[in-house]
Amino acid sequence: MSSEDYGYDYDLLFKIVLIGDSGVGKSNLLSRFTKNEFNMDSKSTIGVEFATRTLEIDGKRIKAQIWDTAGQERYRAITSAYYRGAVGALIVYDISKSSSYENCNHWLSELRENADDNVAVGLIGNKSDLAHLRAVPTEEAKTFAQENQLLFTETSALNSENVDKAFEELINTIYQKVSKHQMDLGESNANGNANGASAPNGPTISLTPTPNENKKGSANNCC
Amino acid sequence: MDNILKVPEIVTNIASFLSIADYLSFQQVNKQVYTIINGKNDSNYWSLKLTRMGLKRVYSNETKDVNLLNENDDDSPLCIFEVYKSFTSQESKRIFKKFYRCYSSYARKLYNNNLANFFPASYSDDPLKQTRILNSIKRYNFSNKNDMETFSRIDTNFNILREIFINSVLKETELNYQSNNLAAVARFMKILLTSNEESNAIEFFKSKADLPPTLTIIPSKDRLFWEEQTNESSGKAVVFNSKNLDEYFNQLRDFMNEKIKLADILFKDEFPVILQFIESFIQDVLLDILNNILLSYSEFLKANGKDCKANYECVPELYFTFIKKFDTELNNSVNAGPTFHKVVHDLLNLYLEPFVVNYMNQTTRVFESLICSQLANYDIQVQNKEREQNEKLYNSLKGQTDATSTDNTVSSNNQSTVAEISINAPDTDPKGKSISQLGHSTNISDDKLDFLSSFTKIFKFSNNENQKLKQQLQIAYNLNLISNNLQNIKSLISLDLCYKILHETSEKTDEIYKFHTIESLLPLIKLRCQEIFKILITQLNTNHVKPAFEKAITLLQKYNPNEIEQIEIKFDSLSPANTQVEPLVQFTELINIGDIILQMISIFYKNELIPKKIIDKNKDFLNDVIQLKKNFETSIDDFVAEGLNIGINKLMDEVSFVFKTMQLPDDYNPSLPSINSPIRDIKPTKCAVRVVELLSNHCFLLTGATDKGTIDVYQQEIGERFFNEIVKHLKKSFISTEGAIWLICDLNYFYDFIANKLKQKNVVPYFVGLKSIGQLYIISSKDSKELGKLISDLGKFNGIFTQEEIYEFVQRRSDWVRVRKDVEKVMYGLGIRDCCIM
Repeated sequence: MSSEDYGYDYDLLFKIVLIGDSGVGKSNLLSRFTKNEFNMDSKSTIGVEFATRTLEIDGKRIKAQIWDTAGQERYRAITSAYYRGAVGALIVYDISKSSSYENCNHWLSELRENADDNVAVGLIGNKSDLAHLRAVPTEEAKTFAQENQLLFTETSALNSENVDKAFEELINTIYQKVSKHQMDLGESNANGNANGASAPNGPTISLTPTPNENKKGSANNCC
Repeated sequence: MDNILKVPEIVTNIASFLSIADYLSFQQVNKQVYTIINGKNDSNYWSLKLTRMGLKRVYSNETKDVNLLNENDDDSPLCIFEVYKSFTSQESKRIFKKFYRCYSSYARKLYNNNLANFFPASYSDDPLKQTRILNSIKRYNFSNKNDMETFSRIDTNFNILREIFINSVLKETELNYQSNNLAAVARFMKILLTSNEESNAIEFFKSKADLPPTLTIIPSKDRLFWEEQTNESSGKAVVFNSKNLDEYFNQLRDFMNEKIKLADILFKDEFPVILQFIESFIQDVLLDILNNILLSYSEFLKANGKDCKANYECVPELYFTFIKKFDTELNNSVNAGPTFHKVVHDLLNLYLEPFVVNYMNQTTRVFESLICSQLANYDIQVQNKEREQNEKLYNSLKGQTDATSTDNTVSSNNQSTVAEISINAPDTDPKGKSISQLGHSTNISDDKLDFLSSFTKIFKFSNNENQKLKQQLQIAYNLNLISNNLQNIKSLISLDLCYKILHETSEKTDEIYKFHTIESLLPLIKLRCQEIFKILITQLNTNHVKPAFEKAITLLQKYNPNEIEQIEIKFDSLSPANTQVEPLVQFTELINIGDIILQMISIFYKNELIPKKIIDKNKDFLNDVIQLKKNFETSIDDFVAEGLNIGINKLMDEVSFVFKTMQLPDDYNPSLPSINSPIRDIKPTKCAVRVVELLSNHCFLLTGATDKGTIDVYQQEIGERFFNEIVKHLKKSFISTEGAIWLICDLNYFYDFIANKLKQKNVVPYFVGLKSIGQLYIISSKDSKELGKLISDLGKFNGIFTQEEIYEFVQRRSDWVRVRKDVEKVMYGLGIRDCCIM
């Protein structure tokens, strides 16, 4: 295996998951952000897809590794695998479809249940271009976001509106958290997701979980 | 005795046999007789005479001009038959009197055989009037038929007179013709025709229209025929030196035109002598000439080493030259009337038809052998070229052996030299210079000597080194041989040749079809044209396309991509990574060519055979031509299918080879990252990228080369087989929870290729299933129970996999030993270890 498989082109690597109901536009948000592409008749995602984009914050190159999920996954074991090691998440709903907004609560609790406590979360009302079909008032969503300490943006993957902003805000937040977390914890916490984040060059953050991760959920295996 | 004459029947009966003079005397015998043969019976006597002369008896004379009957002065023997054509019984005696007045003097002379000064002086200068009088006398004499003695005597003498008369007419005609007094000749011809002597007239004309014997001698072979039988400009087969042929026929044509003119002068439009003349000209002269030319052509062909039985090939050209020279280019004829040209055309057709039929029967065979030989020639060329290439290759490698074995000691760099050769050999320039520069400083003429000496040297120093070298050379040779053969697949079918043959078929069809003006031949023409088409297909199929495909398929079958790969690796080839199964690429080119040929044939069929009504699509759907065409298409389809099947096999061998050689163990089962170790990017593994590259290099080869249906089948087959390869590959891999990301990445990559590039909907579900399988591995070992539930849910995998298969997949988890118990508990209700003997 040659070295080109290994990314030396970043300082920090953040795993971010995209969650939300099926059909709210997660895949198009992602392709708009990473490839600046939009596919009018894209099919629903099967399983999980990956994409990356590198941003620069504070002179640090931050690689966002974004997991695009199907939104229909019934198996908790699989969803928990998706959330494992994520430092950020975007809960996406469709502003023209109230049910997708109502489900955000469910997505949030699933996220809280599976992901790291420090995970940064953004709420995204997608398809803002469909203003004439709007079913979810901006203010209501904004309030919901504030109550749950979520970032909030309304975006349109179709016309690119706010897409970069939404991702950048989230990544910024994660970066702040990581820096703070690092300051708070020093290098004492090896179990955290940001272990060794202080190293200036090379890959420093492992997002792959360590086997002896000690979290709630799957801890008790007895019958 | 006197009493007999009292019986009216006897009296009338006697009267009816009497000559005019006797009849008139008989009337006077006594009063009784007179009363009997008077009135009705008298007019009966005269009426019978008139009827015998050909006059018509009518019962009312209303239409008659009464004046005519009263005029008795002008009745001349020339026209009296024209004046009186019918009579009523009342006027029969009076009318007969008029005829009697005209002809009785001639009759008397004939009866007495007094022929001197037969015609009065007023007619002596006008033979035409004499002829008319003669004709009338003959007619008049029929009135004497009741008196046989008189009648036959007059008739005999009349015939003698007439013969003398005709002879003198002929003599006069001849004399006048000699002195070129054509007007007089024409007059005499009219006389002959008037006296019903047409045959004499024709004979005379023919005797004056004899063909000069020099004109029947055909030009010599060398002047008549071309040696090179194709015309460069038009590409058509040409038999005759048309300049010389025209020259020759122009003489004949001019002769004919002269005679047409003569006939017009002599006969005007009165008797179509020219048609008879032309018919006998065709029969006696043209057919002879035609036969001579055919014979001459046959000899000519023989002398030039060609098939002498192909001599009828000149018939079309000859036929149309005949039509042109002896119909189109003939002058109009007053004599033959306005339909002259059409009649002549029909005559020519009538007499030439047997030749045309022979030609058509012969030409299909000639055509078949022509095509057959062209295909065979091409085949030989290809074989020669191949042998030449192989020899060159072998010689060049041998030359290398020579060089290396002479400085045997320097064997350390042998391998690299051989490798160099193996790369250069296919591109050797025709004179083999580069090889001799590389290896030995001898020129090509010494190659054979070198080869032999090196050969002996190899035997002399047959130590291990040389053995090894020889083996390597053999491998290199074989490798190059294979790649050469692959290059040659394309040349197995020559599009140019097929095009040429098709063109020739079209020419031949046109040539035969030109005869469609001969209506009686239409069925035969159609039959022969169909036969030509059948020959085209059969020959193309059996002698060109079929062997080509068979050979290509054999080459495909022999091809072993892994072997070549290994050799390439061994020789460290400079060529970029081999991502093509070469024979499959070449084979698709062959498919493309095959498709073009099929299309050409279809176009020919649609544009030539259908419009010319050689084949009626609707009526003849069971026709063997259509069947043959279909069979040809099917056979190509079968070859394509077989070849593609083998090609796909090879492609899958290659895919499998890539999986085996390029997929590294830690691709899906990475070692745990240490703090300083770098993290791999989440992207498809090199192996997956290479596999997809390999596939995409082959999946679209057929696009445009064949019909959509075949392409779909081909691509779906590749998709399905690829899926099976992945499954096989997965069942051999070890996948850890960490490595699952890359597996998913690869599976996503494969899915992407199938769903978005290949776009074969039927196979997409398989790859959706694979995506679900990928998720089996990402699940944390802590969720082992959930894992068990998951694999029990077949719906999760779209029903693509069986429970057993999924169970097999889950066993490829690197932590299988740890999660097994929980999984089995969920699956079977209890783990295997929970079983105990009761």
